[in-house]
Amino acid sequence: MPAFVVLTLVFCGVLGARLLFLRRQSDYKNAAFYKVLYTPVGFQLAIFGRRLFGRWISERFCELSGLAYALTHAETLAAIRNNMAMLDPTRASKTHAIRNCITQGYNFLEFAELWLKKKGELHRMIGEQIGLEELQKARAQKKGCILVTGHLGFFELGGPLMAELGFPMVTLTLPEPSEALTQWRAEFRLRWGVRTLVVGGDAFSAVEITRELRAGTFVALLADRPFNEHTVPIPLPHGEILFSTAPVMVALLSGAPIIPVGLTLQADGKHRVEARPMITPQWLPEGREATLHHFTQKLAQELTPMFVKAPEQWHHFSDLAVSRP
Amino acid sequence: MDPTKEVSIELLKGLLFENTMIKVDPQSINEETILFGEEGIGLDSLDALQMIVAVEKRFGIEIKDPTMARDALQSLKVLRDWIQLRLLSSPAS
Repeated sequence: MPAFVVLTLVFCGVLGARLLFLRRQSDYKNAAFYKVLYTPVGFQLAIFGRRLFGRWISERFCELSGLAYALTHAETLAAIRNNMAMLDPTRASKTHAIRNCITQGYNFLEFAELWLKKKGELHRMIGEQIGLEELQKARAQKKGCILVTGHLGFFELGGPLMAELGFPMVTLTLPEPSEALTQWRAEFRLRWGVRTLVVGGDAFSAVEITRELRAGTFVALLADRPFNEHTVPIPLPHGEILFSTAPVMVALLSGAPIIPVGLTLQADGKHRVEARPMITPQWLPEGREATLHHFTQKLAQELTPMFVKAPEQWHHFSDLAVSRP
Repeated sequence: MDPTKEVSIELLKGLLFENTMIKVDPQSINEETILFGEEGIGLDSLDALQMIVAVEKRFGIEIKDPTMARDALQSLKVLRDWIQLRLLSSPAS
């Protein structure tokens, strides 16, 4: 316990210094907080801290970190509130947005928990499981499968869980801010048998996606924060954001089905897993744009209710809105 | 070589415009135009994927890995030569 008090005091000291002497920056990716923590060292510190202090203290530290981050990043907090308001305006208060930062803090802790687990122990992190028979259906088709989710909950757990259930898994990611972090996260996933395919940096890396799918692999990717111009606007209950059309395009080109999936943290600390009904995009006579639009909206319709149920676990730290009512 | 699979720059240009999200004027593309990368015409990984599948469907040639894709899709001229070489060396030719 004294160690926790010392750590808290050091943390508060650093925070105070930051508040007094440093200028705030609008883009969270330029923030010192982000640059320091979003590195292999940041993740290793989380693992070290969890191992040293145990779960309870680590949780309190995550809460403190989330709170501190929220209180020192007014613009980011406003962006989080705006995003949450598109899902449910009654759950987009400052308190809810702070909670969003705290649950993101918990995600760091869950990385550490995952690191400390051995093979066969992963089920201890899993709570309610819904619709997993869809995954078995996709496996029986032997065309691979595209698992699509959003920045919801501790989505990183999905890959290891699938691998643990015996599905061959590849996670698609964009290059991280540093090569070292890209490598570290790839090695982290590989501990669980999940391979990483880095796309976006090289136009031809995407060739591997169709090769993996044709080999029957399950490929996981995120759709709710597109990195390029392949997007369509999709409606949320109280606004509109852009969704990537990449999953639908890859499905059309490879013949693999799409399964929308989501992971959210339950009140008991376990993770709820939900797989929605399979989507099998087909070219529509109206043409390519209409096809991409139709099936991407269909995908979004499956994912959006999961976001609405847990807005404080929908982690977007920049404003996503393309329009609001 | 299978005459139904004749390869011309115009045919490949057609494939490019039908299958990718290319946003440049067709007149500005010639056989030497670099398609991808920093010196290219703004095509990205999804465009590459669409072009690869289009080539597979039209010519029955599989582009198996990123290195092969990088070699084949430099420009329309390189792509034409690459496809012709494979069609000539395939058992059906």
